[in-house]
Amino acid sequence: MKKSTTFLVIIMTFVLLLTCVGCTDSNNTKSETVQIVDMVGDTVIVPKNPKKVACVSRTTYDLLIAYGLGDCIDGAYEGTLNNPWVQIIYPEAKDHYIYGYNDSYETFVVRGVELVLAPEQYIAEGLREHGINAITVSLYGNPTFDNYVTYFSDLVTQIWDSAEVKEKAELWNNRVETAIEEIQTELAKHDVEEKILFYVRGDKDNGIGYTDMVGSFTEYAYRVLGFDYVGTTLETNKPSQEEVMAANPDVFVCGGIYQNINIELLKQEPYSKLDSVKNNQIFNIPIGLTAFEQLSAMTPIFFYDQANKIYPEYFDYDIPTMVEATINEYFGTTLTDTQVSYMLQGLDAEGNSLVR
Amino acid sequence: MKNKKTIIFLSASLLLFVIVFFLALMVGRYSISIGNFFKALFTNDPHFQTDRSVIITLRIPRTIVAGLTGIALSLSGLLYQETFQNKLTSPDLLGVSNGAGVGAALAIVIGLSSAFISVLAFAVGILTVMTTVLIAKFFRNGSSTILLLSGIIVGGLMSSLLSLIKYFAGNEVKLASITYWLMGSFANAKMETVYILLPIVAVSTIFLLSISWRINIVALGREEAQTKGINYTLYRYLIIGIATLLTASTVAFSGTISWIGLVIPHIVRLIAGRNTRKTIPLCITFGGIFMIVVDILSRTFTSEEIPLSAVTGLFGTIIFVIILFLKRRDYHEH
Repeated sequence: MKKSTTFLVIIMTFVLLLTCVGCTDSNNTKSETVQIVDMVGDTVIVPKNPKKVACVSRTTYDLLIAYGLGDCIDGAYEGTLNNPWVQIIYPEAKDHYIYGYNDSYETFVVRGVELVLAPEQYIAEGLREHGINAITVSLYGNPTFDNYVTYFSDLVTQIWDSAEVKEKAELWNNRVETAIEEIQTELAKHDVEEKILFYVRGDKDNGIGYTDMVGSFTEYAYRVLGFDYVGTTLETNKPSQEEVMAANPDVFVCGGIYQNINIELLKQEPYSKLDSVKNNQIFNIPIGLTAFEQLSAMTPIFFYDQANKIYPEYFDYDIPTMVEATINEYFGTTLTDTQVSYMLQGLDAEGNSLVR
Repeated sequence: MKNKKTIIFLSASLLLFVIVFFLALMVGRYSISIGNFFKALFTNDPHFQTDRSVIITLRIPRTIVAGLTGIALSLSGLLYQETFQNKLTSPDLLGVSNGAGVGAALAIVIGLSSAFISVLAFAVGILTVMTTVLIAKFFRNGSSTILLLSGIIVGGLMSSLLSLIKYFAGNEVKLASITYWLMGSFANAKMETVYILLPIVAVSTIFLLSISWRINIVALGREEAQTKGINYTLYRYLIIGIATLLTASTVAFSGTISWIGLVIPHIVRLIAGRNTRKTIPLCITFGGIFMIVVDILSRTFTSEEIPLSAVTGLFGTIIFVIILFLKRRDYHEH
């Protein structure tokens, strides 16, 4: 009886010790978490200060690097990394894994990704259902982008607990607000007639009839600058040629890697018969590490650049100097004047088309 | 009696064809009043140069291409149905549409221009039908059933290849382009398309009209044809060849368009019976009208063009139900 009691005590002590060891280990490895509300309103608990992030949403890569978090990036969406400017502005990008738009769950598990910044809610939800931390960083706001301009920037400061990140994010937020205010104030001084503006997206080979609608950053940006943005009233982001002709825009702005091809298309019939084309009111949007019309370190410059082009009588910002300084400040890269000039023309660093 | 009925329907449909053609030039998302339409088209007034440009650059080419596509697919469907003595066959029976789809998808994935997409679609479409015929030949059995089975096999293979290409297309840009191409559209129609398509459809149609009585005999089967002194095998392959050429050339420019090749020959047969001397002219007018109307609907009511197959599918189903209803009534009456 005594023997069996001793044996039981030994066993119990052993189990208790193991449990304690297990608890201690668990407490040591369990990382700190933070509860955030992502861009589609989902409340998600994510690890704090993640070291391996997958930037599948294309608006996330640029700003994370700009805020000094480049080392925390595991990889990015192929559309982001295929841009030849990425390797020039941020050479460390060569080590980043190329993710597809909706990669398999196992890919993220195998790579040990701590947080996925997904472009759409269904992708983020699917990942979370499979035990992978994911939040949605959408390119679109609901119903408009008005409340989302600094949303991702603020999310970054919640996820990464760093004074440096906070400082950089705050600075960027202020710069965006300042750019908008400056332009709005200047335009308010003049009796500026509201112009109808059509944005040609150009990140895909879809011709002129491809734009962004309500909820997009471009719709927000051009609206706050006082334009009558054609996409606001469209039922689709792929309006037919006739729909574009019927809109009869005063200004065309062409973005994306197909911008120079689209500018040539606009010079052909039937678009060539529009007054805007005859009056050469066709402008491009530069492409850096990210297209300027997407949220990025260059967002303030996007506003200044467009103001310069569309209202040359009121604005004369030194865009090349701004670009050089911003890229140097955020990414530590010094570009030549020629490279900056090509960037502003929507070309690659050698002056060739970005379409591969 | 049936002759008179055919002439009435042919005259009426010809008139309707002209009306629908001009209507197609007048309507669209870019609104042009009737007065401005005529001024734009028949004067040099610079005030109407934008309207003129929309009509000439956008609407005329796509309406002609729509008409030619409707004619080609309807004739093709009729020829297949008569040759295979099966009213449920459609122009893509021998795998031409699936093959063209593979060619187009391949061209999109490689990143070729739209002209090369059409060339590759056409070439692979023809190659697919040749493969179908070759497989059927291995059986050393001239029956239509073997050719039909061979078509199903090759069509299935092409369908699988298309799925594979779509899978490997990877990024959403190319996948979306492939999907959109497969659903059919006249949005990219230009006068250059007309210059290529018009001679193919015109020459094929004239030739078919000139051999229509032989098509009637081939449609009766091998034995019947041989007793009438017709080289059955030669004419059968000739008819299949023309039908394939018509389908491949239209699919190459406009993508896959379903139902029309099945529905129009049925409507035409309800009016004129099985005599191809009557059904071919009716297929030309009815097919052209149907496709132009579908194009008007696909581009007029929404900002984005609705894929053609979505519209033809909707109309095709309704019309097919009506045809079945009419035929059921005929059976009861007899």
